[in-house]
Amino acid sequence: MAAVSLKGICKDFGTVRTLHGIDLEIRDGEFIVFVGPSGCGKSTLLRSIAGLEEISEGELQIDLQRVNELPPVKRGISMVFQSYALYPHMSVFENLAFGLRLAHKSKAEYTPQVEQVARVLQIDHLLTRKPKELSGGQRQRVAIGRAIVQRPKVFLFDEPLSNLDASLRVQMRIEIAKLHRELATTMIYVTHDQVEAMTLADRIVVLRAGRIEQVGSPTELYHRPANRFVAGFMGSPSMNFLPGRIAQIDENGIVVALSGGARVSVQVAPGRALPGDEVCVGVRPEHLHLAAGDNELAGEAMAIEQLGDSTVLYLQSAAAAEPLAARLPPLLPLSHGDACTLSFAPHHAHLFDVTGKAFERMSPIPAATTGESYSL
Amino acid sequence: MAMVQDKSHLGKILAAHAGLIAFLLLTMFPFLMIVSISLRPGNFASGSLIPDTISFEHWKLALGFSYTDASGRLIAPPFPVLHWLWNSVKIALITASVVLLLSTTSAYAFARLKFRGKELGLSALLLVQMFPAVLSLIAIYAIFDEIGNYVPWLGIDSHGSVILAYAGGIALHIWTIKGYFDTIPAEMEEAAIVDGASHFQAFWHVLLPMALPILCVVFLLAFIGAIIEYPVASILLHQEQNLTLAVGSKLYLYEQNYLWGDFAAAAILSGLPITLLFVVAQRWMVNGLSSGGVKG
Repeated sequence: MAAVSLKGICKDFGTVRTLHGIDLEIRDGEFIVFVGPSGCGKSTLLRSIAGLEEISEGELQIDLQRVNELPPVKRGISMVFQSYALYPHMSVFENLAFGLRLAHKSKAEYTPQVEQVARVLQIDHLLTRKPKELSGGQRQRVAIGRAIVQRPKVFLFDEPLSNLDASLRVQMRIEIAKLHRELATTMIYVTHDQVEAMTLADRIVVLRAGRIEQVGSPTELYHRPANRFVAGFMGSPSMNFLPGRIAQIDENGIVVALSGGARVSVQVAPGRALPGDEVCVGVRPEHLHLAAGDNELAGEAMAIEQLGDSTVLYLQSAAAAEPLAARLPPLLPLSHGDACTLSFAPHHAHLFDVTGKAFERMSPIPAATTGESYSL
Repeated sequence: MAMVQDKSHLGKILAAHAGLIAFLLLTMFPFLMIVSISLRPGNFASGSLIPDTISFEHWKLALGFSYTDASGRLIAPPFPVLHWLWNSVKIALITASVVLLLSTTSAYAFARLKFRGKELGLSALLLVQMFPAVLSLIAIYAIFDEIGNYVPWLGIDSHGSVILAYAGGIALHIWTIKGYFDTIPAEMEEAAIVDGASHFQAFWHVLLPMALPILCVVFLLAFIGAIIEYPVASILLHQEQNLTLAVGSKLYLYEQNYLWGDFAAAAILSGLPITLLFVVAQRWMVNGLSSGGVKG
């Protein structure tokens, strides 16, 4: 168990800089998730922490000790790889025991340790098998077991669930969360799956192009995204963006004249904004309702997706170039080409300035499970 | 995989089989000829494929026994054939081991390490290997003559010199093994390194066991190459006791007297160790050793 501290971490591949000074303090026992689009540097960052890539600049501390120059095993980390990377010519037992054997432990010493980990992961009946005789989920457990058996100070996971099918992924996700509760070890987890990020993380680190965009709890990131990138990245379907200009500033927030002609009001603190400034309104699909209301957006239904638990409507509107996505109650009798009007409450909207930075929202983060978006 | 096929497919299958069988006979013919010559009385290169009378005189000589010919004359074996065979096997085994050691480690460097001139080195290796060894025979002779002045066991007429000369020809083997290493994901060794292995331990405990099939192939190729090699061995080895079977067999064929029958028996003997090694190695050359380690 250990805290991990990153101070100005940079990584160059030849002349190309992929990480631009990452500063991050990871607390002891915390579950941290790195998310971001492909090529944002999240895997490079993890590999730099692991010691599989050299750090070009900056300092990495694990448990208050500088580890830049230490090989992986001396950093007290262990890692679960995306492709599992099990040793195919060794049995499950040998796979689990490999690191302990390299550490010159005797068989009598490590056998109980391996068996105990195998029991925890429910793979104790598979110990004599070779990896090729295992299913995907079992291989994943062996890969995790190989990390646990080392009793590391920090666990690193590099997209560990991306090779599993959907139902197994949910199951393993729950088990990893359970594992974290039981071991209470610091875990750093890389994924591009925002559901994994939202469900597992104590804090999420959103990365883009080698820089941290925002660090915060899943709730913070969802309700108070720092900028347009984070707002668009978290949530599915992603947030709708409506370009416009500030028409009026009052005590209730800002009124925006959308480029499509409509006027909408948004409950945000104006800060130093002035009327006439170019801005962008952000509304999540789950906050759009099919009813007349304060902020109306009219358009034509372009596509309707019946998801069973909800209906996703894609509306071609004058307010935005992209179709607007709205998550509506299930089984709505809508069809292609219908004229619809969507509305949203001012306190649900986000506002971003021309650089993409978010205005501070006036409404507090809602208390847990008010069930607002599914109250219909 | 049994796919549903058109009826005309049967004709194609028959034609393909006929073609393959004809080709097989064509390739088998020289071998059968040699077997036939070795079993024929007297030393004649020509004659029917199936001899009228079978005589083991050549085999007796090759295996070191004397035999009495039709006129009652006792003929002693002219050459130490079994000793040559032992020389050949010894040289081939050591050569193959040295070649394997050098080519796997070089291939690892080319496949996994980053260093300047890597691409250039790979191409250069291949180009150098393309230069026919026969054309450098004089150079090879001169080099080993000189080496022999300082290190006698590597000089002319030593087995060490032949092994050293053969061990130089590893460029193609490096390419073969590197190609195989490239198919093994680097994550395997990274996992080993995270588990606490050094680079060498990752190579030894993880990469090599996974590459076993290709190592067998390279060992076999190097072994065969050394057994059948003639030009280099013929200029480096002189004394009768030191010859390899490939070089020694040539002694049966001197200007005035071509001992075809004895030559044929010796030639077949030289094929035996290759066959034997192949049978042994085959069980390791199975595919799919690396399956199951990564997703799939």
